[in-house]
Amino acid sequence: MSAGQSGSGNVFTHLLEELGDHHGFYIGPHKVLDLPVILWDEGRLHLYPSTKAMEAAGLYRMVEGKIVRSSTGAPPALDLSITNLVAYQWLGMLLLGIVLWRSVRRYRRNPLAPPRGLQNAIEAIALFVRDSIVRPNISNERLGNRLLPYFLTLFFFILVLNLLGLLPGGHTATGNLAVTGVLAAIAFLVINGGALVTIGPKAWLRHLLGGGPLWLSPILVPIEIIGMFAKAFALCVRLFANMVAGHTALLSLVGLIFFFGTVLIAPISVAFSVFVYFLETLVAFLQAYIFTILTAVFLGLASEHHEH
Amino acid sequence: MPSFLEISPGLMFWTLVNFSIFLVLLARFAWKPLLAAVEQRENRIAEALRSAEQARLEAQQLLEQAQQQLAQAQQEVHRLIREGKQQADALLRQAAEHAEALKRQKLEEAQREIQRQLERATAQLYSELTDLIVQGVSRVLASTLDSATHRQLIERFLSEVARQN
Repeated sequence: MSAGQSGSGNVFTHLLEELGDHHGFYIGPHKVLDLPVILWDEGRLHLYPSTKAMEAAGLYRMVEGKIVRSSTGAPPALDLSITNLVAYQWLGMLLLGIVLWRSVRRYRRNPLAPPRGLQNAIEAIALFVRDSIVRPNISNERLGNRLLPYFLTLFFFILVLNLLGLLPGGHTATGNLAVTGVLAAIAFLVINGGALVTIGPKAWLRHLLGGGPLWLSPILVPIEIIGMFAKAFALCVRLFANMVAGHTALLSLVGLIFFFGTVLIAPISVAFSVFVYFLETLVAFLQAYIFTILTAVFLGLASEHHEH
Repeated sequence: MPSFLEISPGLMFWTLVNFSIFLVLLARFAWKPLLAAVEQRENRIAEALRSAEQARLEAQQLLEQAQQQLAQAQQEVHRLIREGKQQADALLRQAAEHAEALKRQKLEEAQREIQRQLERATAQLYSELTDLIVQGVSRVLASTLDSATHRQLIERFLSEVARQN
């Protein structure tokens, strides 16, 4: 990294910049692939195969990693470019897709054979999601079975993105508020949509009372409504913060070496970062589990008929 | 604001698109066959357990039946042996009785025969004795009496003697 040369006081902020999203596919700090740029601006779509091609076209240019209009210096209305984290999502989906495809092929060939190898791991996780996350928390069996594919996809999606971020040079898509925000928004829709479909609008509205008497509704209803959004918000921030925290700790530990400008700190940095790395491996699984089980718990609570 | 705190609408859009496509594809091509296969296997295992339990019960029933039959057969054998013994005993007793009866009959016959022989011999003896006495007496008396009268006398005497005997 060229961080050391940009002044020791700058090293942490510079390293933390690496955690953001970038135009182009990065392995570590190195851009290995140019990715297409898609802009929606001034009422029309601008498509470029790469940032270089975009700059060559002249309408837009890159300033500190961001696309701005060459003429005004203002950002475009909507930047739908394939960014680094989009590419990592695709990579994760591709890897998971290949693994799942290979596993499922075996099921197709002989559904009754005992699972082997990767298929066994996939099945173990899938059954864990089914038997330990969905079934105990969602009492309505039909709802649970219908949403099981969602929970499975959610768990594997988060898990594979978390793990991709742990590969040397890998970037963590789940360490971005936009990504976790969308996942939380989908969870919000699943929780409330599932509840509405299962118990009907009347019971769903009654839940907004939180079990209190009617005269307390002016206080309770806003609290319950805030609670609904707070749950989703917490899901979003929890996953994001957990993923970023580990990376920040790792980068900070490595950054110490550059900050103090001495190799003497290296043994400490390395020892601690190995520890944090193991911790992050745990957290990668844990956060996938927590996001999934909390969604299931919230859905279970919201979709139950209960007398308060 | 550090770049990792930025919320890019583009990334949100792509995440939504990616996740939705992923969800649809996986639900259709991965989870459906996987869950179906797992369920099928679970059902089969449950079925196998159930049928094993049933087979165990059936085997136990068969065992009990066999044991019952064995006990019955043993009882039958005991009964046959007892009956055989009883029959043999009866036969033996019958044979003994028969032999006893036969023996008694033979003995009686023999006794009767002896009696008959004895009577004949006695009669013969008397007859010969009568003749001898008649001859002797007639020699002594030398026809003082006609033999017919003497003879009558002697016979009467002898029959008295026989009666006394």
